[in-house]
Amino acid sequence: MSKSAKTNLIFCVVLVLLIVMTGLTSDVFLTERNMVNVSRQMVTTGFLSIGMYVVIRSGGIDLSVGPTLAFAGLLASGLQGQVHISVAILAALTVGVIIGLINGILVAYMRLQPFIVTLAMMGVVRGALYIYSESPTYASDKFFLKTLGAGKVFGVLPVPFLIFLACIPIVWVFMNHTRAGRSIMAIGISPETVRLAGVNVKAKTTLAYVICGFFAALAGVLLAARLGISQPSVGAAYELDAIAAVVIGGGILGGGGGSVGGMFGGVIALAVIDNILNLFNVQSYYQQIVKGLIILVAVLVRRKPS
Amino acid sequence: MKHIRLHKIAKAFGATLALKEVSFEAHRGQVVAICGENGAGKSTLMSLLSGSQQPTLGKIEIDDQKTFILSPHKAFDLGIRTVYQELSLLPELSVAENLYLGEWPTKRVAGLIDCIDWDRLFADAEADLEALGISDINVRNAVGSYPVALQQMIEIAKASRVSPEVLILDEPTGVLTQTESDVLFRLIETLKSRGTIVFYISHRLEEVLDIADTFVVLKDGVSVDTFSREDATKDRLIRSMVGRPLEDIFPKRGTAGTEILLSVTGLRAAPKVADVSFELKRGEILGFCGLVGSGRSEVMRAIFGADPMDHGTIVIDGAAFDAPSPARAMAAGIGFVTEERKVDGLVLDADVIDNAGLASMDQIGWGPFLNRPAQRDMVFQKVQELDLRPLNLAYILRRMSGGNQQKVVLAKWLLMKGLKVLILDEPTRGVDIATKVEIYKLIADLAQQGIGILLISSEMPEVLGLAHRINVMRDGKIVAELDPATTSEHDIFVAAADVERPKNDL
Repeated sequence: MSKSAKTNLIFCVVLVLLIVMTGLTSDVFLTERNMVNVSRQMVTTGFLSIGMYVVIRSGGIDLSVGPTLAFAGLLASGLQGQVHISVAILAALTVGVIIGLINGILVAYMRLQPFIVTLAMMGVVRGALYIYSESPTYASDKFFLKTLGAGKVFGVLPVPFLIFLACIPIVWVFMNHTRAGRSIMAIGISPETVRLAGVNVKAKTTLAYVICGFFAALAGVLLAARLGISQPSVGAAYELDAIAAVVIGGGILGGGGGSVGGMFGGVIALAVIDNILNLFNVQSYYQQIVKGLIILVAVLVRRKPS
Repeated sequence: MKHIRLHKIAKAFGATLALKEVSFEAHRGQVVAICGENGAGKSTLMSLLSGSQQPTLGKIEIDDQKTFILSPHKAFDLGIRTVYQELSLLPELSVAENLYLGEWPTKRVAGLIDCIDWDRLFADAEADLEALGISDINVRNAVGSYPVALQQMIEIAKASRVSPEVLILDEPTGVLTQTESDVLFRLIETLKSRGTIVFYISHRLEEVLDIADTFVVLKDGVSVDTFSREDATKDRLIRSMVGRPLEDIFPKRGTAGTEILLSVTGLRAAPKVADVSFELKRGEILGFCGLVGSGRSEVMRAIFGADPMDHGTIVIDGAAFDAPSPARAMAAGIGFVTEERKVDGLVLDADVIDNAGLASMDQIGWGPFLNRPAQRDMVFQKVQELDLRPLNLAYILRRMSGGNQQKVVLAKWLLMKGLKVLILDEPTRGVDIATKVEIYKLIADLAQQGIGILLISSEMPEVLGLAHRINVMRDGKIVAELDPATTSEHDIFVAAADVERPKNDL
């Protein structure tokens, strides 16, 4: 077993222990109601992390996922009543793809630094959002609210969570069993080697950002469906949780590490820890400290021996 | 330091013994050549001397005192300096700043602030370089503005500036041309006369035989042979290293075909390729010689489409393809083993499958999907054929030896469907002797199968021993076509060097 796989296993054991111990001390934690809550809450970070994983694998980063999420949510809600709900959702997802496409073109074809490009895009999209709608938008569509947002399968599993679960194997297959996915993985380590192996590196890099934009938009749509209200301010600093989940799962900024399974574990860990801290009424300031420390410990454990 | 003695040194990493028993001694003013194949333990031995690792057993004595070199810092204090293959200079800083990194002279300005004393820094640096016999470097220029060969000289100058007691050089001439190497050898002479002990690791046996006073041959972690200059012959070195005599190194040359496989006409690619035309026949090995900067690699990069070309016609197997890109060149049947495998030949942090399968992904699978099991089988068969060690497809390339890394690069191109022309740019650089022999045999076999080979190498014996014809390049043009049967290394050198220019021009 590789060192990184061992570390993943250790993290899993720690997480399970944490869950068991919390379950023993808290009457609320292991209740169905709370677990449903946790699964709902991890969805947003989850989708963002999927996209972030792909982009980080390509050697880049995407800071613009927060505003993209907000834009998609506003569009999906705002267009309701004017067009069919499927068109509204499609429009929202298209916006995510377009933002990703612009990011990708600027990074891959104009050869600008991903951090700067997506930082700028974060500002641009956030600004555009407020121009589009300064006030909150309420969703009205029944399918959108009742099925997509609040729907449960078998009476327990929230629909957004199920969609997230379904996306995990899809992304895994994409990254491990398609030419594009393997190329993105290799580009993150050595773009020149991949270019000289006849791969269109620019197109593949762009694809990574498009995927990230798509999942950010999907996260936005499902969040709007769950909350019923969309605000232009939503999603601030969400990119940090996504980056944290990827890094906890073994991802390395600049490419060359991590796995889809690790990222998934990172998402679960962050959601569970958030929930536990809430249950024990830990003040949000302390929560932030705890989360920060967890990220530090995770990268410390994964550090390569010098 | 009068002498340094290693007594029955062993070093274990977990269960593996990197060094089993190494004993030798070196005296003041000696150049000690450390020879051995990759994996013989050279790097481990050097890491013990430079303090980054400690021996598991045995002792190191300096002037009869048992010494523990517990850290690189301690080694530094003992006067032990190491120059690694990978350069450690800061390219944005000036040469002078690099030479004195961490020890920049200061002067007090306005009685308040200690500022860097630039005048003194530059003057000192200039004096140092002059004392070491390095000319043509302006200490005020950024290190990055100099070619790699000169950067290497600066790196060595940095380590030798203080006249170290021990200087460890790891493959110092890997990137140097003959003229540049000569400057390095003069520098080593200077250090010798000042009493420095120089440990010299190099794959180039001719060079080692030229400059070393003592030879230590490592094989499988054991110092199997130590001898002095008087007893040193190339044959003895090779026999101790690989247990195989010299004659068997180059395989028998097959006969090249008569049919033209690749023809390049009027190729221009600014700034390095001025005007190049040549033809390659089926099953022919065409050698390219020339000094660094003569445009050899650039010709190959242009043909493969790695760099844009300005003008020229390339016809492969009767079909012309213009405005090449790597994808189009590959579709036409060209494979390209690049000069710097760590930069653009390998995805270092990925495993053998992803690396060896990189150029053949289009061949396996359905639509966008890859057939990973088929890819695994295909790669396994190929690397097994090439005798990759360890034969472990999950092995990360970064941890492999140079020879095995090169086998993975070769596997990548051999797996490409419809390979007709294989470009090999320095295929044995940083590769151990045993693997070199295997690669030579592979090249000859491929030619026998009808594949055309374009072979670039700075090691002239390699080109002389393998090629059917040799093109010599200078200033972006082919200036001579030589027949290896009637050519000596000297002839190639005369053709490659620009005689109109003064010789000392680096």
